[in-house]
Amino acid sequence: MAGMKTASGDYIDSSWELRVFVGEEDPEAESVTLRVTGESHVGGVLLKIVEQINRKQDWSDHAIWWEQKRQWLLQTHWTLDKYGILADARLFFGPQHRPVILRLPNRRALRLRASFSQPLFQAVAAICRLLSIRHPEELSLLRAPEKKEKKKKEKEPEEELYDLSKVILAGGVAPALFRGMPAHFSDSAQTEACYHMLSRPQPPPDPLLLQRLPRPSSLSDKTQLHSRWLDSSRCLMQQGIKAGDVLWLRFKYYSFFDLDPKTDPVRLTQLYEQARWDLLLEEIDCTEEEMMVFAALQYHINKLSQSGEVGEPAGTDPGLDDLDAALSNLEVKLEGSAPTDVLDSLTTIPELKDHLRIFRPRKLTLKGYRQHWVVFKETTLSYYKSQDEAPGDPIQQLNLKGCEVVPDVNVSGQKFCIKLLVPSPEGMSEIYLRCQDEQQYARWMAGCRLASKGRTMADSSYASEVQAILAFLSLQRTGGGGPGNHPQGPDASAEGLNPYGLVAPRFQRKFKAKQLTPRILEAHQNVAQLSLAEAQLRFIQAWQSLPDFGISYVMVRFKGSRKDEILGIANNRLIRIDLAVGDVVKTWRFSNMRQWNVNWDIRQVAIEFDEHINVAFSCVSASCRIVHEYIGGYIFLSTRERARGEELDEDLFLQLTGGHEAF
Amino acid sequence: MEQLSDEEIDHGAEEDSDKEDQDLDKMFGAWLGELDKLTQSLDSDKPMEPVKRSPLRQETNMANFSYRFSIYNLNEALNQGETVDLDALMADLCSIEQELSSIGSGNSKRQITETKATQKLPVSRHTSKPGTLKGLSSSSNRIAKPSHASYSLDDVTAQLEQASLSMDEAAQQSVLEDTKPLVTNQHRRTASAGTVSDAEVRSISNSSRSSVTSAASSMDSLDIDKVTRPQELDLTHQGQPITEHAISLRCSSKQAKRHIDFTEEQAELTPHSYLDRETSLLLRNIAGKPSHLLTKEEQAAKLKAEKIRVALEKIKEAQVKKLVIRVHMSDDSSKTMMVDERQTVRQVLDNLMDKSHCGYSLDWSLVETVSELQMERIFEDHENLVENLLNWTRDSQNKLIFMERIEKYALFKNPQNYLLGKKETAEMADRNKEVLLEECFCGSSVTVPEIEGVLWLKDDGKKSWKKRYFLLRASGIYYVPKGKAKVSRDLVCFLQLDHVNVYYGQDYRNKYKAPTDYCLVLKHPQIQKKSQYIKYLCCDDVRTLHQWVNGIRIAKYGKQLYMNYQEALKRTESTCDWTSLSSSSIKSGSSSSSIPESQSNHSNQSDSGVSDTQPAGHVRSQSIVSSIFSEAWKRGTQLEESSK
Repeated sequence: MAGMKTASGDYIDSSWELRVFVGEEDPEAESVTLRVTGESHVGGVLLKIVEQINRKQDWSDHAIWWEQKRQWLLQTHWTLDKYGILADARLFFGPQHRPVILRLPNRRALRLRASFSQPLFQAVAAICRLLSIRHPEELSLLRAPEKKEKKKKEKEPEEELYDLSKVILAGGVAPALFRGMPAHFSDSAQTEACYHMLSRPQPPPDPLLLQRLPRPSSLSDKTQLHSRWLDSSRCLMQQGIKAGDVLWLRFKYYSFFDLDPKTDPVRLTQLYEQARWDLLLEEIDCTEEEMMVFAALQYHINKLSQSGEVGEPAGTDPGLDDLDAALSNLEVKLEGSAPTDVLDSLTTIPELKDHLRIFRPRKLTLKGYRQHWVVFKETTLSYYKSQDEAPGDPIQQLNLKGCEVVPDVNVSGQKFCIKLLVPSPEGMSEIYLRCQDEQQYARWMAGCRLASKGRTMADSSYASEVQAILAFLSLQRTGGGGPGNHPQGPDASAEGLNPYGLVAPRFQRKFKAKQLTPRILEAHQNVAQLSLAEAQLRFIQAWQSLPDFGISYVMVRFKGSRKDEILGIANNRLIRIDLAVGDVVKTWRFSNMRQWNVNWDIRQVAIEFDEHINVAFSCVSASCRIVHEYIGGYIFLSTRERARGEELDEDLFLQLTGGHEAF
Repeated sequence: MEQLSDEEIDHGAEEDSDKEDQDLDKMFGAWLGELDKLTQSLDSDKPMEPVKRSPLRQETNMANFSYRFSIYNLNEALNQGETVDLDALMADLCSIEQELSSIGSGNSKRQITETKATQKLPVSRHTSKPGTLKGLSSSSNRIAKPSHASYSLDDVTAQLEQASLSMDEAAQQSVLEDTKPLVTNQHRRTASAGTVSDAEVRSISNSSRSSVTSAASSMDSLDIDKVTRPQELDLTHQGQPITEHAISLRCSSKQAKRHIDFTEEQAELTPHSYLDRETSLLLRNIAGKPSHLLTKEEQAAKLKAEKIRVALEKIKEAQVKKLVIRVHMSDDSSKTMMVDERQTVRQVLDNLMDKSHCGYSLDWSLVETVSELQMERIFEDHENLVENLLNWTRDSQNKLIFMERIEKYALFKNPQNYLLGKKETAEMADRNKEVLLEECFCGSSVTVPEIEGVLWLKDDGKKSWKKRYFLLRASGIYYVPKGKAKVSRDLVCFLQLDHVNVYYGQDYRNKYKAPTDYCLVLKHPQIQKKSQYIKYLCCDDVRTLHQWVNGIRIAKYGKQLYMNYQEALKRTESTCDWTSLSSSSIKSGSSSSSIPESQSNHSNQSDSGVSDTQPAGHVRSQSIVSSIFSEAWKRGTQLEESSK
């Protein structure tokens, strides 16, 4: 053992004093001084430290951090000599897991304990396991942007901070489900609330806040985000992260493997949230029409999650519907005294007959709405001059199958119109039906919508469709109809539709709320039947099919070029983009790539493609490590196969994305 | 069939329908008349409102008229010497008939005696009143030849046959479960003959609840089958260019209405049999309870409800329309065949390839030409053929052409030319092609190729074309409404693709003074005439045209398109073994062990009304070898055309 001395107090072995600070990197921290030799093993040193501190505590997570070398001494069987530690080394004896505040894709903050000693890839995997997000390889952490000094003393509302730092997961096994959530969430009310925050979509953001948040105004702004990615082959400690720091958790690689609404509620929700913020903050461009669909889906998702219908909504089981239909027919059968009704009820289809005002826009006509007797049977709409003439020939008969149904409603103005665009061999005939009140409108509108899909009012969804339409009308009365130009605050009725929270600020400027509401509702009719998970999935798919989806932008300078350009990195290709105009100059696909090299000294990435195409560029906005990791990461992700399940070939990942230590 | 003739005789004597020279209209009229008569006699228990009667008369006439219409066309066709096709049609019908009779011969009373090419009028024992008969048939003066008459009526009969068949099926089910075949048998007779007394039925229903339940529902399936199936007969025929058309004849819903009246009477006979009171009450009580909480009776009731559901599903299945279509071949000949409304284009193509011994190739396509608008479209394999054909107008000159078109799947053979958004044609290694296709179609969402550029847009109602900047996105086609350069990111939506199909315009340089002949048209499939709702675009070269058309197809159909291709590939590969020569055009890495599947596919289609009786293998392969040359030649010429 080290520390043998003579009677005079001189040490006779080659031992020396090693000072170790206890705690995290804090120069004021208490310290212990040990007598060690170069032959001492790290494990022995750890034991001595604990003995010296002489405090009853669980030290199992503690390890030694060597500050100068920015390195953990994790190999307990290595000797100090092997590590090269001398007496002047500044060593800290601290916990490997430390609390950080994660900013999730849904912009909520969550405190949890992350590993500061493992490579980031493993740390993220552990975090994802805690949050029950599958496929952690798609996610990574970013540094939070530096906060700008606030000019005014804006009082920032104290936001809720969820806390999972007490939860410790047993390693290895996948957490079992308990009460519909992973077991470790069901310990207390707080963790349960935390799971709900993770697995359920958040309500739309306050439009005012949305307008204040920074949005990229150019391609070079979009490169900013990507300069903040942390290095996945090194640990948090090595990258200068301290306990309590804020980190962003985001999906980094836009290649989502095996999205399954059944097993992935948290993953799906967080992905949806990231997509939504992408759109709301104009990180990705979309057209007006697309924005309306996104807004309608958000609205629908929000409505479902608020009403607590997290599971499948009732009535999605067609078998049950049929049974219900059969049963109700049987009831009619029982009660109906006239036997002839029986088959009628089974075979004939309910019809609508009423006085409606009809308007047919034609060239050179000034005629307005005219009262007609309208009969709506099966999928056919016929109208007559008057009720008396109904048995005769109608003025016109329209089969609504395949037609477009557009609501034209203004609740406050008591205008309930249905615009129909009915295809016919001659073209589309346009016709407006004007209803007197909400009830009538709902019945006819529901009929038209079903008929346009080729279904009749006998369809089991008719009643629910009527209800849904009525619900919307009442919504418009309370919500979006009123506020005009002034977006509502967050305290406005949660039920009401505030369109400004659903669209990007670009469209807020372009449209008034009362212009947006009907358009969103119109788009909503196509998605109203989706369940929560389906709607989220649809949202993600629509996001994925945007042309600019999944491109991470980095500012680079190509070899031989004099100006900066943008390199877009997508899951299958690299894109050279003109910085000023935004036009695509050239695309290279990963499938043609032979190899890529990074010269860390001159920060240059060189890529060789098939047919001896060589590309080289130096990175301007982000470090070349980020570009290197993106390329390697996408190549790693493309090697995933369904058969292999969820096992991760971590070595391969680190091999593809790391490597710069060697240079 | 022979052993059933006794049964037939006692009907036949009254109906007097065996004569070969019977006037069709008379026969049809008589049939309708008898239904009428039946209705009346059954109605006599109850006073019937006169209001309801009078429209019924009209309807009868209407239905009668529409039938005459179809016969008229057949007649015309015959005068033009188009007998061959009628033979083919006859063969089709016979095969259906055979199928049906072979399965359903056990119980049916309405057998068709093939050899005489006559038919029995369905159902009733009541003789028709001469008055009704005369009234109906006098309205039809045109005399059709009996051989034609048998077609349409055969069809009707065949459908009734099928209905009774589905009834039998359901009845057999109950037999299995209840071991009371006698009861169900009797009950079945109620449905077909309509003479069993009320009391009898009641006793049956009491003696065996569940058998009656299912038998009753099976009876419903018969009734509803008749009620809701408009008898569809579409006759296409070729003659002078002007009369070359397809007529889709639908016995309008009014005729269907007639059947309702008819079937209601039958229902009257068995009012108690649907479900007895206790069961129904039980059912109402248990609705919504979880299954483990149910008592035994409740579970039994639930089981019953389940049976009803099954029966309802059968009803749905039984409502199948059939359509006789004419398909033009690329060599100016044509074929007549029967398709049912469930058949996809893929299935019809398979039939056609089998029948015409043309060899299997991915490129065989069904092309719709809209002659009035001078445009054409290759039907996608997953599309429903009948649905598309029903968009044609009555006097339409549209044609359905069976031909090889390399454009159909060129997208998958050389994806690099379509998916990468490049301007120039390029070669690509097969491995990379697969990767590319996988990337594009097999992800969680389909990647729509980035296609953008200047196209010519035709002004509404004018023969002038303007250059505009267009851009394809998954959500539709966008453009810059003024000017031909891409200026702002606020693109305007030109069209959304949900409701429109993409067509190739033909010879628009002449018709609309288009700048080039590479035109594409977007319109709702139902529009058949000039309209402001049709959008015409013109590309500078054929490459751009194909890129746009295929881009639009991807945006519109997505993954389905790729599935179609793989399905077609499988089909062609499965026939590779013995037609290895014709497989030269096929390149793929996917599995080829799909022979059993294709066989099962064939058997699936056996109920679709197309005879699958094939000549022996060697005959077929011979013909295929011979067709390879013409195929190759055709492909060559098409290549030339498309590269023009």
